[in-house]
Amino acid sequence: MKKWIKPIIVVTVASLALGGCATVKYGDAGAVETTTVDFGSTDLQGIASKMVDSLLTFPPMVEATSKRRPVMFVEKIKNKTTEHIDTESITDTISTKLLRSGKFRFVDMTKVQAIKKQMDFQQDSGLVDQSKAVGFGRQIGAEYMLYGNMSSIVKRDGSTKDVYYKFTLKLMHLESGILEWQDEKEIRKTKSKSLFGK
Amino acid sequence: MNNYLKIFFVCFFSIFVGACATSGVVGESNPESGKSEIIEIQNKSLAKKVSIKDFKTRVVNDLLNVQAEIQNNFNSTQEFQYKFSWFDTTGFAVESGGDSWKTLVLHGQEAKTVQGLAPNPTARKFKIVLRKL
Repeated sequence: MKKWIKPIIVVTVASLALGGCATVKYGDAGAVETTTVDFGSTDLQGIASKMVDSLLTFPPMVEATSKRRPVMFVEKIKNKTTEHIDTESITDTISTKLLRSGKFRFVDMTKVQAIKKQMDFQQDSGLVDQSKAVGFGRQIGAEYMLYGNMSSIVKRDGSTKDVYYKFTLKLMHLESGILEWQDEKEIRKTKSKSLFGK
Repeated sequence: MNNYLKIFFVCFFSIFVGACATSGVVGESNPESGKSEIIEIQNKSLAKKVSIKDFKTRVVNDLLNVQAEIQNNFNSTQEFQYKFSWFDTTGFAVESGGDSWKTLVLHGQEAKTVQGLAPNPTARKFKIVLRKL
C-alpha cells in the first residue's frame, strides 16, 4: 500500500466517527417512526386519520353535518393495553381534525370548573359591567358523545415480539342513546431481534 | 489503484448512499380541470418500480375524497411511503403539514388503491408523493 493512503483512510474514518457524535437535528414529525414496537407517533397519526376520514364520509353523518355543525364532547378513551398510552393525545388529534374540517363543534368538559369560576366572577364580584357580563344558562349542550377504547395483544416467541393494537371509537347520540357511528383501526407490529442486536 | 483503496472508496460511498432518504414521484390531480398526471419524477429508479395507474376524485360532504391506484411493476415486494397534500383553488396549501407519511407494501406486480380525504372544504386539488426510504 502506498504511504499516503493509510493516513487518508485513518483521517476519513475518524472524522466520520467523530462527526456522528452529539448531533442535534430537527426531524419530520410526519415521518414513519419504527424505533420500537411500542405505541408511537405513526400509530397515533394513522388512528386519527382513519377515524376522522371514516366519520366524515359515513352517509348518516354526511346528512347530519350537511346543513349544520353538531356539537359533540369527547369522553375518555379507555386504555386497556398494558402500556402507558396518552389517549387524550389521540382524541386531541381527532377533535382537532374534526373541528378544522368545519363539520363539527365541541364543548370542552375538562374546562367546566374554570368556566364556572370565571362566570361566578363576572356575575358576583361586582367588578364587571353587568350589561357585558356573560350570563348563566346560555351554553349549548352537546348532541353527540365521542368515546372508545384501545386494547392490545402482545406475544413473544424467543427473539420475536408481536404487538396487535385495536382502537375502537364510537359516536353516541345523547338524546336517543343510539350509536350513530363506530369504527376501528387495527395495527400489527413485529420486532425480530437480530443475531447481534439487543 | 490498489485493491485496499478500491475497497475503501466502495465502503465510503456506500455509507453516504445508504444514509440518504430518496425523494420520490409526485402525482397531481385537479378535479375541476379533469387533469391528473405525474408532474415530477425525482427518483427514476423508484419511478421504474412503481407507477400511479389511476386517479379518482369525488366530493363527499363538501370534502374532496381522492383515490390513487399504485402498481408495483417489479416481481419483488416493494415497500415505500406515500403522502397526500392539499391545495385550494389559488394553489395555496391547505393545512400544510397535517398529513403524515404512510407505509405501503406491494407484493410483486400487485396494485393497491390508497385513499385520502381533504382536511376541509377549501381543498380543491391534491398531490400524492411516493418515496422510498
